[in-house]
Amino acid sequence: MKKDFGEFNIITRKESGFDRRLIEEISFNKEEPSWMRELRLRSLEIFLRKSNPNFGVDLSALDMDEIVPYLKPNAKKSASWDEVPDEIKDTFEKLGIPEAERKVLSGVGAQYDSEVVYQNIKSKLKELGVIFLDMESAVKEYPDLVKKYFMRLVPPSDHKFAALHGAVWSGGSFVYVPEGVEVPMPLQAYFMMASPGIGQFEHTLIILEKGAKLHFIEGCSAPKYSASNLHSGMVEIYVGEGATMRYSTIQNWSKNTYNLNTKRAVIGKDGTMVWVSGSIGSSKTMLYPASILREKGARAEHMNITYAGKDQHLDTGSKVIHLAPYTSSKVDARSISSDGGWSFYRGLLRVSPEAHHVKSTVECSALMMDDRSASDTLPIIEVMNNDSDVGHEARVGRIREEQIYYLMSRGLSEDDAKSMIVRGFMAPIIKQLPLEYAIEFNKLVNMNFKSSVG
Amino acid sequence: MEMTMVKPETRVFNIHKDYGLNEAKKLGLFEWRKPFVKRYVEEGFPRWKRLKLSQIPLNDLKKYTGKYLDGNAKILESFSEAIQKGHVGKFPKMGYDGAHKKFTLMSYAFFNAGFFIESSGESKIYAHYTLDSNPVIIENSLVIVKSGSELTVVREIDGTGKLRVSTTNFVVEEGAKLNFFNVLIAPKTPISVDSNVYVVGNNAQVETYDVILGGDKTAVNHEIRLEGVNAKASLFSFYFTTGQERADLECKLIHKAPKTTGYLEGNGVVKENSYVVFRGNIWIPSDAYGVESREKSHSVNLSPTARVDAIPSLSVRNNMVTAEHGASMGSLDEKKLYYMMSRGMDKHTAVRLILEGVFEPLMNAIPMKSVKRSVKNGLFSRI
Repeated sequence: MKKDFGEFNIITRKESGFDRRLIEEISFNKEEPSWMRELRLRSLEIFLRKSNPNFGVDLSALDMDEIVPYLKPNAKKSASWDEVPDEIKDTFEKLGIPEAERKVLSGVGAQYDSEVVYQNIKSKLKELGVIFLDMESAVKEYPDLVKKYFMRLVPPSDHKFAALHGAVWSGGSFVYVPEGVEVPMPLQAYFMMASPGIGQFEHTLIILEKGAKLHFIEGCSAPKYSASNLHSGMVEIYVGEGATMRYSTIQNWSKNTYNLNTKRAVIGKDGTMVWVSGSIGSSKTMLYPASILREKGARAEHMNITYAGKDQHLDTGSKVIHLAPYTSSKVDARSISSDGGWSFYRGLLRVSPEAHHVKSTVECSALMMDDRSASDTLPIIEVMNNDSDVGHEARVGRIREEQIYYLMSRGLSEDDAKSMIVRGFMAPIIKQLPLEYAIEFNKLVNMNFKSSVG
Repeated sequence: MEMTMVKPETRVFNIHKDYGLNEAKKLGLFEWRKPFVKRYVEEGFPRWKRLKLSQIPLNDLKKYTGKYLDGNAKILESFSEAIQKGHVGKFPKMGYDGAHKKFTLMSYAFFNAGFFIESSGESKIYAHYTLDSNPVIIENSLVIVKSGSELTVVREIDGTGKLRVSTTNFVVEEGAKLNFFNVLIAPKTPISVDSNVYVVGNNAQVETYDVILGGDKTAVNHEIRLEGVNAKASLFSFYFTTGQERADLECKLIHKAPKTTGYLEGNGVVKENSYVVFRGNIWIPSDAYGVESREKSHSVNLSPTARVDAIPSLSVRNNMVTAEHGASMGSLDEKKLYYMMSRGMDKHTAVRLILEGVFEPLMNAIPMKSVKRSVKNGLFSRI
């Protein structure tokens, strides 16, 4: 069936569906080395064989044939803003990328459809030896480095959508921070879906050597379309000895997107991994960032906020695996369900027999705005030795009348009062997000309550 | 928009010589058992991810020998008698699968023990089964706590046998109160599966104490359905496992009616290579406003090779409720130990005292001296 997709991406539009021929063509177009083509083909086989996950959201309405896996916009990679085509520029303008870049960001890798159209690294980073490239270029320019790490943390056999990702991945960022280098400003990548029926399968690979430090920001935004959109990206992070990694995400896909993402980090001796995630968009999400604490003294922190509104089922959570002694972790997950939305916290905390003297806390809090919405909490805790200290707390509740009453007695309208309380509930995590995301979250809350406070 | 959740399926296995119509015939009351046998043979045994069942020791089925019922109630009889007298007419249409429907159906189809109780006023019942003389006990029981009455049931299972499967249906009518003590001291018994469902009416109350001291593989399921306004239920689960023992304990609180109150608590000790899973599920549907539901679990791990899993879940569909859960897991409190030893106590005594503390609330609640003694002995043999 032919659809009007707009002029700029008709040229190389492929037929829907996944088969061997298509995978080979993607690989050929990208001029990939043979190991990558083989990885894609192996992944395809696994994808065709594996069944859907046996938990989480209902995927029965997800029609694979509707997803065009690979679309190439009519734009070449550009190093300067002037060379970016107008339509794309316009969309980016609305997201405020150039603005943000000029101010604080050290580089932008923005993805339009499946190819990276804009890449820029400040010369300062180059001097430090930091590599920040789109994934395709990295495969060509640093083949040994990429081959050593690419899909080693999340192999294609992990689950069906990891296999799908392995077969059709396209775009994404590659960051390598050498030993002892602290990247002074956050690196940022925007991903977008701007064609109906397109799947997004970007791959982010981040390697931090000993003592390195990095803050990486990922954001998603997509306009609303009628066809089902599938997003199945992957993030693999290697945190070396004593290194510190902070990964901030805001997920704001349009309300018809299936967001089935895999994010995993492995942390070395005395390393630190911090995940800050905000989920507000998509129709259905399954996302459980994972931290594997592999060596002594490694640390992980997960801060997670989920806002499920009308027609949304957001199944989010965290996975922390303690494999070594003296490792520690902290999970703070908060969710809001309103207007018939469903937020589900699903967590796993595992303390293996060798992981002595582990300290870990998991806290979940959920706010229910009405009796049409739904909230679920399911933290699984497995402790396999006797010298670890593990605690968990969860609560589901509403906004208390006395709080609203108090604020109203001080002159606020009911909507303003509710909005203020909700923002207060989210504040500890929102504060961890970059400013423009924090503003976006607050706007959303205000819209929900028709409030203008803030 | 209708939203659905995908749930993992339980994998099943079949065994070579499963029970069937012949066994049911031998036990008598064949007509009553027959429909359940037909459904039973269709089902496979659950593998259970955490309990890892791979074989079921199905020995010869015989009627239970010996007396196991004592106490006073308006009606107190064996389940077989109750069927013969027509006391269990409506039973069992509760749609309850228990730990797994294979085992629930096994109880209905092949029971060789079990009781029927109908209470009025204040009654106390003691059911005492021993696996030593009856290595296979399959129990099917029904308890009706009549409106306005209070019933205390103490069920004790001891000894070492091959298999113990039980399903108990409780109906607690308006304003009635049930106190239930479920004591399982069955070390070295390969498999014990215990399923209990409670239907709790307006202003009715349930208080259950669950005690698990042994059994190689033990699965316990309690499903409390708070169906009447102001119904209240609390469930306290106590366990102490050792050796290679595994136990999977599941407690469900279903708040069907508004203004119902629920409380779940799991306390226990794991030792050597044993492994305990404690699941507490709270379900609050959208029309159940004013519900208060809480869950707490605490475990003490005495060995570097023992394991405890906590899987608490809250499913909430109404915002006018309070729902909470908390869990903690750790080793023996070093500070407590240090304090006691600095007061001249040897380590063994100090450890024993701390562990006794974990079970203290249970000991205070058990209403019968003999049962108190067996629980105490069961605990001491494990410390």
